[in-house]
Amino acid sequence: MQNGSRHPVSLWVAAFALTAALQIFRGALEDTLIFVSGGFLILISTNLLGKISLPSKRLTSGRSLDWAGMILLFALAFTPRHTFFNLGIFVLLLPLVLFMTWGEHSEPARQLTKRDRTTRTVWIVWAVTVCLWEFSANILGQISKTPSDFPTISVLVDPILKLEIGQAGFVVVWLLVGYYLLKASNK
Amino acid sequence: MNTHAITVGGYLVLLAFGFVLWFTTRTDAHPRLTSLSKMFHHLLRYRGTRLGLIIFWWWLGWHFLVNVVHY
Repeated sequence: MQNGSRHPVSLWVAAFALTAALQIFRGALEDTLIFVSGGFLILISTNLLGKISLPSKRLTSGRSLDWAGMILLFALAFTPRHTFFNLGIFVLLLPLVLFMTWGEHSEPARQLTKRDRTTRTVWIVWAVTVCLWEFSANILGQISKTPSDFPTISVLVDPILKLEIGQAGFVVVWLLVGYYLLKASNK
Repeated sequence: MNTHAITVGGYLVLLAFGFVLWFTTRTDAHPRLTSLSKMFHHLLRYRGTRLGLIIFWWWLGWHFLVNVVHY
């Protein structure tokens, strides 16, 4: 999601700002802080800090990422949710994954082809539509004071995570996506 | 049809559209669209995309495993 090489301000900043606005509307202070800080970091990562290089291939190319994934699987899949233990794990995890995805270059040497750009646009339209549908459900649920009449994705998914198998399944899928992102980011 | 069914139906339609889009482009043989994995491969060369995706991924875990979802 990049709007060209002349003004490398990522569309991610706009997406994070919009999500932060929704979190303010929800009254979710922690989530607001996460999206405001995340958007700011993305903004400066391509401008002020654009030249800072953090090579991390050695961390993601060996077996260390596999072992870290296994430890996280056992730590998160079979323990109770919403605990200080989970909080500690996530606080430690964030700087590590940011370091591992920062990389050496802020932009590729070769720009995207027309076919890549078309594909990117189609998937962005799809993702934005999903977000708008979710945001609308959230806003309508709060205005009408009947969130169950306008369920968000969280409201639909959370009951599944109350089951042990549901929590384990979520953690497995979530870890696999993170594993893919870290590996692919360092190729 | 009540608002609950319409809202859930909207998610299912969008999910189905995403699945069809992934399925029809998965072999990278489509004339106008590249595959999802190849697109990720290209887009992850941008630091903004890498950070955006990993922060959102981290937040998803935080949201469901640390935060309490109110409903």
